[in-house]
Amino acid sequence: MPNPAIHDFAEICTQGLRNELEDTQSAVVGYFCSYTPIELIEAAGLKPVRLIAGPGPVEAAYSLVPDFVCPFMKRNLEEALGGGYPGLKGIVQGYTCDVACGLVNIWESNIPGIKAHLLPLPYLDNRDSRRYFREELNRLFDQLKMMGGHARDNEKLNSAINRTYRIESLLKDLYTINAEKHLLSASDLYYIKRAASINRTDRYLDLLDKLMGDLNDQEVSAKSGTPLLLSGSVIESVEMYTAMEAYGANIIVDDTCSGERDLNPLPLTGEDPFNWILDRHFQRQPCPSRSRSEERLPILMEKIEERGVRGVVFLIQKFCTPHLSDIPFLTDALKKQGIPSLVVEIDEAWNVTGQCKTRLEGFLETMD
Amino acid sequence: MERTQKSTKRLNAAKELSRVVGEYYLECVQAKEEGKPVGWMPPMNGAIEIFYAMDLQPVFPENWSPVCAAFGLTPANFEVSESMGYSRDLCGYLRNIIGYVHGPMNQNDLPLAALPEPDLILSPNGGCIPVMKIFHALERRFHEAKTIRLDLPQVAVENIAPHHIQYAVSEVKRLIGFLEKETRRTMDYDRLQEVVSLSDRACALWDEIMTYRSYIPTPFSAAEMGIMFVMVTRQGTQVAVDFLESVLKEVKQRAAEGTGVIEKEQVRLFWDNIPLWYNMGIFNYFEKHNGVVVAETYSAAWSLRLDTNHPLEALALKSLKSYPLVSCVSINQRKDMVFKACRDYAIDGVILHRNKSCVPITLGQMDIKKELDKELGIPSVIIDADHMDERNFSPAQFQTRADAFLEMLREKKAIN
Repeated sequence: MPNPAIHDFAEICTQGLRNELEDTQSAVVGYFCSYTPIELIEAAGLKPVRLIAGPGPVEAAYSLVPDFVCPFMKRNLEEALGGGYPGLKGIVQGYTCDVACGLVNIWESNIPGIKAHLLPLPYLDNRDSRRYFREELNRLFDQLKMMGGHARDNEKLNSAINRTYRIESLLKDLYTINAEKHLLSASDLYYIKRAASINRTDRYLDLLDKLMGDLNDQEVSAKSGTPLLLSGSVIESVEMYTAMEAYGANIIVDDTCSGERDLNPLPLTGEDPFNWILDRHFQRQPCPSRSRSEERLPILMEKIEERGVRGVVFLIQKFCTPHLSDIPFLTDALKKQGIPSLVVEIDEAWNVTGQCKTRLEGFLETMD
Repeated sequence: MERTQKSTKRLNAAKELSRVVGEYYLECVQAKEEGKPVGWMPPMNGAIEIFYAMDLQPVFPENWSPVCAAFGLTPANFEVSESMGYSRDLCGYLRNIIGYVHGPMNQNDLPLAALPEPDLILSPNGGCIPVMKIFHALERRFHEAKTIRLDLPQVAVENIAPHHIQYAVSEVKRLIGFLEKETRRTMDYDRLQEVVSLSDRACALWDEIMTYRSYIPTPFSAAEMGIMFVMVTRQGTQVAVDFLESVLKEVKQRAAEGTGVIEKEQVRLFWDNIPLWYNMGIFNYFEKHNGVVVAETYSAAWSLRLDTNHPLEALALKSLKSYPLVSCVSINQRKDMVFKACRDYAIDGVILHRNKSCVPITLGQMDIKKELDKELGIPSVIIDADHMDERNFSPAQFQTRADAFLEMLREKKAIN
């Protein structure tokens, strides 16, 4: 059971997506990862929702994809094939990995009523790449029209950008404060963060404002457990956090695709909101999908030192090429810095018992 | 059938190919010894023509992997990379080349010559993720080499718009500027035009050679796919043109004489995805059922005609199109390509290699399989394997599936 203080966030996570999809007034566009410029989706009058299917079986999806793609994309496809995303108008996804690219095309061919768009992202920040990306974002609006959106509305775009800034500022503060005060568990934080990707509304901001006020008023809690940095791809199961904490972990940094890695609060300045979209894209914290492990290491080390981390757990979706490719360098570099690490690969069932439990417990014992 | 097996070849060009391959790797080593800058780069883009135009030496680590597989070097390379922590679920090209540069590269007893260390690295922000990650690892291993990171929009071929081309052209220009600065050589644009013309000539020859495969019997099969070596490493050179002219002459003659691969060709097959580089003999396996693999997706991706009057734009377009054409970026285009091949080459059945080492090409195969059946009535079969890692290939399972498939096709064609 989630902490009563975050009950409303947990409810958004369990019910919010279904509510949005079943609301006939609401035109929902899905995305898989944070490279999608969701502010543009809102500026076209559509609702962006991050699709995370959660643990479960994969059966129907195997008629379209091989078993050796990540559970995240397989489970989302399974959900879509099973009618789990009714009313979804479209998908917008950046080319962040080969599987995301392929699945966007497979969704478009196989999920009735879905218009899918793959956004070819630039990675270098220079005059030419900015000019190119600006054109590409304009092209996105044409695609959004085919998903039921309207022409670009700058007022709406500014409003969406300001909303993102407020949400990310508050969330970033939340992770920082909680690292000092230990008032919320990692699973609580997961619910709060996940709810933002389902329901970016005034109500969500009110809930977050209130929670922050409450936390600021509270004293530091003496939380037990070994301080860990959790790094990896998307976490789809809140039970993973709960189990890790039950085994003795205190997840003090969440460097996962569903954690704090993508928080980059950037205020809107200047006349042209597109510049904000470009700045935000190019100033992202490096993630394995396009960045070098050498660029990630100093950021991880800074967090490790800042928050007193004693070990790192890499929790990786099985077959995730971007993350798996970074493991040899990162584990070796951490070892040289005296930071022990453990690599855990997880399948679509997100089963945290058995071997996974034994390995986690064993790892934590070595740091006692 | 063995897990690893060389193919039986029928073209005389196979012997010439051995010479061409040997000379290329020797040239790479000699370039290093003579002080000519050596650059490591991914294939399937316009950088090769720029290198040859500037008299620089291009080296393709990705292409080295099939060579390693053919010579049985991959297990040793895998052992090194896997001991470093690279997962067996990662692409075999990645594990092979990273293992190679951290292990056997400096041994003296390797077949051919070892790859020379790079002076320059062209690190891509396009193509597939494993290739990008290979180059990140190479940057780390050869940190003294001068590196340029190059963007390339990953967009479906049918969606390429002027701004994609404009950005790709700007990256081609940036590459030339980088090479001029680091090598102190100046690009001669007349020479570049000549090189692009040679590259286009090679593509035209390649396309013409492929048309003869529509003859019944086909003059050569996928077992000879090694001839595409020149399309990977020699595009923009006279070597490629001379070699392909000689292949064309031989193929034309075989077609005119009605000389096929086997005595009685009865079943014509199409192969989708990269071959099993450690077992090219798999293509001969179908011959016991009088089956011949007459066309494949992979070889088609290396031939893109170039507008020789606009070399920079031509190279930019080549870079934009090559990878999407064979991967999940352009599933619809790929499907059209497979359908066209099925019609042009009178294909009876399609073999879809579900390739553990190549997700981008494997994704979309199930859609293609369904459509082949629905639109063309052509049966297909999935073969589970891996283009690099023989541990992911079960000869017994392959034989069972292949035999059943070929028997079904023979029955369908009422062949006794």
